[in-house]
Amino acid sequence: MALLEVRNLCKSFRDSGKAVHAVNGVSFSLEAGTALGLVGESGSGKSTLARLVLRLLEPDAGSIRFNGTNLLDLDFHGMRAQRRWLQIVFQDPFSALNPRMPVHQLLSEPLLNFGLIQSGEARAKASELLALVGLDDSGLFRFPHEFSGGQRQRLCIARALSLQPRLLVLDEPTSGLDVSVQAQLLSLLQRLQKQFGLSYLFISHDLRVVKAVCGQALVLKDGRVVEAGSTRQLFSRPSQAYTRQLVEASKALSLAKF
Amino acid sequence: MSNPDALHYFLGNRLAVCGLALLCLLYLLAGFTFLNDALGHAVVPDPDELRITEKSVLFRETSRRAACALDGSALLAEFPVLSDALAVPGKAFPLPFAGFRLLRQRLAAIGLENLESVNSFVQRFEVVHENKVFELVLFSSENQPPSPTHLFGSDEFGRDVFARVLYASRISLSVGFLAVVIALSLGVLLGCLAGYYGGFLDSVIMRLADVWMSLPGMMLLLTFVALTGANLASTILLIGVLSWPSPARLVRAEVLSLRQREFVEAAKAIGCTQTQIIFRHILPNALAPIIVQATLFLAGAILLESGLSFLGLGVQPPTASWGNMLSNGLSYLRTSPWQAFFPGFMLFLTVLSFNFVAEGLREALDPKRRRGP
Amino acid sequence: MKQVPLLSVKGLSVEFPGLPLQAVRRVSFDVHENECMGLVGESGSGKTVTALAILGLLDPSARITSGEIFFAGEDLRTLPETRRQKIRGHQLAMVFQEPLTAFNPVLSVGEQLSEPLLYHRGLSPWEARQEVLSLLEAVHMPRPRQVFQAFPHQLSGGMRQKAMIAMALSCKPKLLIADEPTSALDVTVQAEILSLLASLRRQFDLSVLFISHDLGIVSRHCSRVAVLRQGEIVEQGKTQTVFSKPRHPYTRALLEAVLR
Repeated sequence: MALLEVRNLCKSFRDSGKAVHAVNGVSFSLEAGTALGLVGESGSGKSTLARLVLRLLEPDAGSIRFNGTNLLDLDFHGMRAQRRWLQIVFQDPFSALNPRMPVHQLLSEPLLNFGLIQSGEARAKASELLALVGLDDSGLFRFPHEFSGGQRQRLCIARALSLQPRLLVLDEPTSGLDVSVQAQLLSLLQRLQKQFGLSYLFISHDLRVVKAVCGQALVLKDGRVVEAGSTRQLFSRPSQAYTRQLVEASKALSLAKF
Repeated sequence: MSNPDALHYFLGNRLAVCGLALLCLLYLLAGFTFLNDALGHAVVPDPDELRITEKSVLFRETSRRAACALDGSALLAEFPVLSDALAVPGKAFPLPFAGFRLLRQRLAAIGLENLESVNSFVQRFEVVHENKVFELVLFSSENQPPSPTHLFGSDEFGRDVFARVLYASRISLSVGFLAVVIALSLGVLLGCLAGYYGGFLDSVIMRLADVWMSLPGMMLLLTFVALTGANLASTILLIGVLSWPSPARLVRAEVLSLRQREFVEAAKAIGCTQTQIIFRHILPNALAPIIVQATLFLAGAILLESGLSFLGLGVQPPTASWGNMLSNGLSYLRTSPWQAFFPGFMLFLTVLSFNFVAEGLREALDPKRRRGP
Repeated sequence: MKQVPLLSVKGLSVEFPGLPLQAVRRVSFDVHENECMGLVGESGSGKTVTALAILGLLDPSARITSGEIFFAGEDLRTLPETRRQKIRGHQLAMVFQEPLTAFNPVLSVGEQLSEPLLYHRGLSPWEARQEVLSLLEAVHMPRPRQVFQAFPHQLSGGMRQKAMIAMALSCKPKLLIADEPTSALDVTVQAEILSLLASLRRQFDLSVLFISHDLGIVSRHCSRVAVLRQGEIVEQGKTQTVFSKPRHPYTRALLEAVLR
């Protein structure tokens, strides 16, 4: 049975009277221990989809089965209990961290929320988490704005992993970061996946990034799934016109071979 | 933008630091008055006390011969009937030359009725000379200019102005502080709820705020005072309750923008309850503009209270308040200007300090407003 | 025959007060006529500061401590501001990264595009309108007349960037400085804008100074490249040479990090 099964998910917004169908009948499955890429341009609905899967937004229709449980049947407390296993890393690491909280508080907050540790152990736990993502202890008492973009993203990853979730949704985690920092972050993510047997739902507009991290991928356009399959196949033999467009554009921007 | 960064910037602003230092000093001194009370007015005199010092009665010859000073306490002991006269200090009893008869008449006016008493009075105190002009001045320490014994001088009753200004600061600062606390508690709570939950609750609270803001505050205050009598506690309460819409709107605006920030979504994702999100994540970040406004509002509340006292509708004499000291001192502006000057100056200094601190805070907390690197 | 480069930057150094390290340190490079030169670096490498220094658009607190900037033989640094204003926008144009913030939100696109024409070329409003419409067509803008009336926020990201390119081209500049012109756009739109820039270069005999952190784009569109690191140029030369046989370890590290 798949770890995550999404069937016919729909969400629309009202924009000055007109209904905008951000997500329009999306279905997919994610097997445990794998990484599924969600590729799409702006307006494709990928960020909305990320939030719907975690019920940070309420879907209008459809079902989300996580580990057999239908998340949409749960009330607030039921869902909160499930949140332990479903975590998210956002696109903008600065906006995703409370600017007034020092790092040790940021990292230990999830564990304290669920009562998994005592407040006395918080600092030690935060230290552990920092080491996990390759940052050192000196950061414990600093604030988010004192870190670089790449480091902040590592903090977000550390926070998300603190609860030892099964599924990690990553919403464009490397966009806006430098090339070398991007490479480091992706290799960190791959290492963590192997280490903890995590499953990733990796959202990106960049096909090259998805190809580096994910085995399987979906292509989204205007809230619908255009094509799905293994990333290798999508890249080398895209069957849909839109996918082909994306692959061509991606190739046109990739490093020329000299 | 975080706390340590902002602190450094604030400390670099000299005016703000001076203002803050001054305010701390003021609050300390105001707090010190409580200690003074406990010690029985050991350091600073009781502000309500009429000081009559030893050499407080002067019976002098206005033809500028050497005057002889009389012992006031001895005088009172001999002539208790004079106690009334002495109790109304500041009264001069000029005795123009008209002989003994007139002297007697004047002395009769202050209670020395029969000739024996007058005789014994004048004999006892070696006063009378015929054909001379004498003046019995019940001269306590009233209307003294600033001196080492009276730092700020004394008022028309001989009360030490410094002590009164200090005790008055207690009133003004506590009025300011309490009024702000009331206004903020109401305002921040309502603004936060309105901003976070939105919808119907938001509409209701905001319309209420609109109505509230259209109420003429000063009129209400005056009417209230006229009806219930001037009462410090009710003044504070009313000032506070009248002012909640302003902070509420500010907080609501901040909360509305914060609600969109990803760390609020993240808080939900890591299992925070609604209350935890509001109090742990949203509020601390929404408070920055409030701090500035609260500081300015404090200054405003102090001015408001002083204004009311000045008009006679706030704190009543003999309790000292900068406002009523000012209004009292106005009549003595020509003769003893220090009576009005010092309370006025303290008021000015306090409000100015609050303004400097507020400006410093505003710059420190909002990186965009900072002037230069 | 030795050709005088269109733009020649020699030993440029820029520093900001309060920062210990100079933002730009002794940077020297040339841009020849009809070529696309790439300036590559990560964030903080000083690429944008260099571009702003060339245009004279630096923050007033910044100081150019040394260097010369020759444009068509004139040293831009020693020129009076009036002359620089004439050059800027007319012969030297810039395209920024975020088109939304580069446009005035309360003026229509047409008004903003006409501005340089009215100021630099002294055209009448009607002439300017015709010119702007033809420019919009040259940048393959769909429905040019509608776009003329529209406001910046009503256009999509790609359309805004095209409008900005049209604005930059309006005075027929010799050199276009493009600072990360496609970073904020979708992949397919990026490809479109880049091929548009290439065709415009050929059509208008334009030189481009292309500033980017994206090595892929630079490798495909620039004939020469300079690699910047913390304000210094670590390596420069023909793109083919630099990218196939990088000599500096930083360049090598950068190339390695690029996903293929």
